[in-house]
Amino acid sequence: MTTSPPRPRTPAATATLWKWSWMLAALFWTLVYRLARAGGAVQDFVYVNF
Amino acid sequence: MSLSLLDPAFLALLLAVGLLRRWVPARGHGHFGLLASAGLIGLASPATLAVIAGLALGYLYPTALAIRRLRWGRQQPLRARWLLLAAVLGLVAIMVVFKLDRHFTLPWFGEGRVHAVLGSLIGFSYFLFKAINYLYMHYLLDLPDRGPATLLHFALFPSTITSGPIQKYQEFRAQAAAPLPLDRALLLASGYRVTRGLFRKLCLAYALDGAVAAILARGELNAPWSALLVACLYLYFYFDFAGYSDLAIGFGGLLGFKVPENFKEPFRATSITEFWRNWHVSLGDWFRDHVFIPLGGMRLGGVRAAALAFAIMFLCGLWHGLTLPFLAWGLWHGSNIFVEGILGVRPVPRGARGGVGYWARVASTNARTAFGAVFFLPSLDATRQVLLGFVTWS
Repeated sequence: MTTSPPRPRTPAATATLWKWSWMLAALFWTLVYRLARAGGAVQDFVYVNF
Repeated sequence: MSLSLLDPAFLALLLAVGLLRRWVPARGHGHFGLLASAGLIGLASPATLAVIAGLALGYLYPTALAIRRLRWGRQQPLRARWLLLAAVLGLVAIMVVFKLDRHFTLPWFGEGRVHAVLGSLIGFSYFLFKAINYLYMHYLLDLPDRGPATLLHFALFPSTITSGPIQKYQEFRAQAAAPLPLDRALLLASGYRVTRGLFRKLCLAYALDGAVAAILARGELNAPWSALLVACLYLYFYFDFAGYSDLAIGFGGLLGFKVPENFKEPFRATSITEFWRNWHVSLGDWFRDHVFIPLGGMRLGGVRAAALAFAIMFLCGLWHGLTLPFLAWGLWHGSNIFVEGILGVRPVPRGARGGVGYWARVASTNARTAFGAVFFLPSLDATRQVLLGFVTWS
């Protein structure tokens, strides 16, 4: 049986920076992606149809 | 505006309501939340508001009062149990009619008004879970009556109304009395979940959906193409539903409620049984708490407990829709869980994960769940095309 060592805690400032960077990048990418396919409809979520 | 977490107008209004609550006095949060939820659902789908609010006020609330009076007032638990059972069967009957009408168009509804209302109704399958939970909690716990407002808010909660995650009434009730404060940490956490959800759905799931369509368009498939297709389909369902859950949890937080998680590393599961504890978690928890445990659960012993788990997966398949592919999906997952139950397959403890045996089990679990996704293809012809591909090597 092997046990993995405990992970070091991510400093709060790094985690916050990561989350803000992620949000801006995801928003930017989403908008660019959607704009690039303007007119192409995205299907609604699968489970909405149930 | 439509009742969808992909509709920009609906999302903008959800965001506005979430931010507006910053200026609502603490004692007005409950009424503000209810009015905003009813207003949003009414604007997006009047039929959904009418049917769900009507059932909540005219069916659930008086029934819960009667169950509570019998169970906790007059101390007549047997009569309370029968009333609970009758009320649950009534709800299930409504859903069966709804599902039959959706898939087969019941002749006596024709193309009339009832058919139109049922056709535009959104989220009824998930409302059923919340409704049964609400009644069951009044049987299990002596909950003081707070009037129908909390029930209405629970039934119409806008971030989860279309597809969950399935909230529990007792948790919602406690959170409605003390909503999460709208501070910087909550804004950041909610924003992260919302953007991650949009990214997963609009980028990853969208691309995988395109890949599935492109493979299907090849016509006849062989085993490698069929395997690639089910892998893409499996990931598509993950990013679609996990993306939706991110949005529901993110907006739920903005509205002051901690919405339960729906995914907990499902790809690391070492059996189908463990997979269902980590994929669509709120659905698995619901079936465990409302069907498996009340009907005996693990106390039944090996084969009978496994048979009950099989029956639950079979019902779960039919809940998705009263069609042949969903029936086959329920049988596939149910039989896997049944075999694991009678063989006594247990999850690998966290500390013992690693090595060839562990990864072989992970691969086997993922292969079996991915294969089950084939029954979710949009047509029987597509399902047949992929299944035939698995037995073709040329």
